[in-house]
Amino acid sequence: MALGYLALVLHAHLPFVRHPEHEEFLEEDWYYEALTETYLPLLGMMERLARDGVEFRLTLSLTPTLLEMFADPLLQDRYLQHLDRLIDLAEKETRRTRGDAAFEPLAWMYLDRFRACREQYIDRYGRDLAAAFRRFWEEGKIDLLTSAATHAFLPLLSVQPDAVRAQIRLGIETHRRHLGEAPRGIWLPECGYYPGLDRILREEGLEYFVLDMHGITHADPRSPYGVYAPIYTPGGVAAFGRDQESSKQVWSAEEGYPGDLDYREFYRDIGFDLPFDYIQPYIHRDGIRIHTGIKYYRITGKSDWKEPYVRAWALNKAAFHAGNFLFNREKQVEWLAGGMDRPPLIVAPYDAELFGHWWYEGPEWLEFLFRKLHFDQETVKPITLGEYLDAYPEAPVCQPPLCSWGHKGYCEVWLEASNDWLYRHLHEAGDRMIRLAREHPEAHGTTRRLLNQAAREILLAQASDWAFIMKTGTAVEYAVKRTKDHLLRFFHLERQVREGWVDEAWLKEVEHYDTCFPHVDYRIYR
Amino acid sequence: MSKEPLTKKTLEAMTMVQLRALARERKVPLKKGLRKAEMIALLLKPPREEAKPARTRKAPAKQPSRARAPRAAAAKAAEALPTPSPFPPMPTELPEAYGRDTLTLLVRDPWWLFAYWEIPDGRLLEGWGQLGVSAEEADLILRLSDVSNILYDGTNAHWSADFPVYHRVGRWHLEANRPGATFLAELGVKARDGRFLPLLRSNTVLAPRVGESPRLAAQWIRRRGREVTEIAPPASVKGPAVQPAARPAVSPEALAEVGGPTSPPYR
Repeated sequence: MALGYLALVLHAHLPFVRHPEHEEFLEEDWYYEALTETYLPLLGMMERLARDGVEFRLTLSLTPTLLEMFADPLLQDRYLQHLDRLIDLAEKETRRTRGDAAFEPLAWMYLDRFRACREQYIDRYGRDLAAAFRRFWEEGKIDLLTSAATHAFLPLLSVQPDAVRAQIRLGIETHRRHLGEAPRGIWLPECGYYPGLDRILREEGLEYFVLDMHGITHADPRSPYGVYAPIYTPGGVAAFGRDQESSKQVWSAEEGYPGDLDYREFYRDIGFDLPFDYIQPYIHRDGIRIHTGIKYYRITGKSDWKEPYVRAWALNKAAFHAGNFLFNREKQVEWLAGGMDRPPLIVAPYDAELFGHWWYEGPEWLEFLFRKLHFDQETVKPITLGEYLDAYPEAPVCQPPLCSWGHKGYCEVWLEASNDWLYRHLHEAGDRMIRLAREHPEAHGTTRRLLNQAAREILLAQASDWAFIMKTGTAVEYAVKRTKDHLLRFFHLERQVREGWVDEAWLKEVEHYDTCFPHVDYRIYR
Repeated sequence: MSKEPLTKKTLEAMTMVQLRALARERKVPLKKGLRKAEMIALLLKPPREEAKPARTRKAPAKQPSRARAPRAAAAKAAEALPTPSPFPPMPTELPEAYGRDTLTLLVRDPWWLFAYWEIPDGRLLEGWGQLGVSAEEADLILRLSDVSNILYDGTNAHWSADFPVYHRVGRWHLEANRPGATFLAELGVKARDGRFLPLLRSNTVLAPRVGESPRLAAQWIRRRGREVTEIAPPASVKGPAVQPAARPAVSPEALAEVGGPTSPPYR
């Protein structure tokens, strides 16, 4: 019998990016990179653990927009094209680096990995990643959570409960459509919560969610367990709190594992390092240098001087860090269990894309961790959130305050100088969508198409990703363009419904561009 | 100007005069009154290509023959110009204002709120009139009030602060420094002598509390699926004696340490 439990939670999310109007589109690369470096490796890890009889448990959120992208045929084709180009490049690299003791093994490493991805994607999973994840869920190894339809930051939509409800409903519906069953739990976008949201979650049938630490520790009244057991909100939904210690060891820029000097350096990519003529076919067609995913250097130190990556050293470090993480969790559980009348639960949530994309050795670290949890000790056992709740269904009732896991713990990331202009427009659009849904209880034909497309547009505009990008300054032009495009399309659609005319040609175009949620029913806004 | 192939980009960079000169040189007939986009479209066509004959079937014998001419001409024009849509186009910019009263309050964090508003000129004029002042003698202000646990009647707030705003459409971050309080805002006109006439009232919001609650939870429930039962708090509830890192920071500066990474890259 374990003394305590560890719930690893991975939040897998990407905004819906699909541009049929261009043959290639830079921001679609986010999806292809995540597939190659995070989602396929995670599935590979789960296969290996299952094959070796290692008991593991993982709570995984697959957001609705990500599920939609998994299933989209155009993106599936484009991913394979992307992968084939990578394989081509890696083959060239094995030739170019022939004889170089430092770089040639790495070129082969990449070639093997890309070929393995291709085999996984086509042969093993038949391009159906949702089904691949679902199999592990059916076997009881993972808990699958949903999220808001387009990952809207809900506290800033709280003035429009019907808009919040629509995001939740469509999230649940999309999850059911792609994964076969309604989810029990939800990953609130950015762990963004406000008092009253719990009632909406309960009404839609959800049972639990995750909050940042202060969401639980600042709740009123307070729980005697701190973050080491869930609470129930007054609305009757369970809330789990993030453990600060296990978070820091992985997330922290200074102290965290991913900054170790033997790990792969993200910023030295051959897309930037190699001569233009050689690399040109593999970067952006307009000649803009981009990350290819083939990187040959390790972090080495804080300066710009980088030494070649040594895979064996990095894997050794990953194993060492997994052992260190486990050791700390054992000590933590031993300490906590002594003072609690039930086994403590350590909730460790991370963005899935950290593993493999930002931290190249992340999936290996995770695999080592599960193996060590299984073979090397008995103190801590991995568990899913749902399982813990089923085992310990009793908890105190406390109301968490408005909070998030964003920088500084509240809404500032999404409500500051770069992005606060959004909300006037988002709320205006929300009001109009709600009014339209009320005025058209049973729309048919073209009106129905207009209304459904209006729903798509406002949902896409509400994605918290745009505000986040505006604040972090990484792809601001694109984020602003997406927001404006969706809002302008929404208002034009709304006008047509209101004034009773339809620009058929324009509608067809917009339906062609914005295809997310093909089955959406605008009545989620009623 | 040579006979090298033209691109849309180079043509767009030219002035109307230059375009006409180019058209004359290349013997491309330009009608009077064509817009720049239309001229460019004509210039981009390969030289001396006739407009494709309209795909009309031969007019039946009984139809008057003059009906063919306008059809062919229209088809030729259609080849040359993009067909104008009969529908109003989608605007390319979001509006500055939506033409209706709005005052919305949002919570940013325990110490700061955010408001956006729009008030039509007409309402302002009325306001000044009611106060008996002119626009120059009055300020447009946003009054933020702490209305925790009361029914606000305009005068009984626990605390309020006035923020001058200079535009009838705008947005602003408001420092309130009262975690855990309930707020609302009013947009109105204020005379120099202090009289305030509220014109719009916002929604109410609750700023989050900070710090551990002094009260320990007394209500416990058990939930199995959809079934919720209230239960007695366990007789010997034990929690971790001192919770590691559970003394969370309560000041804005210290809270900069809380929360996940702002973005990848996290380093």
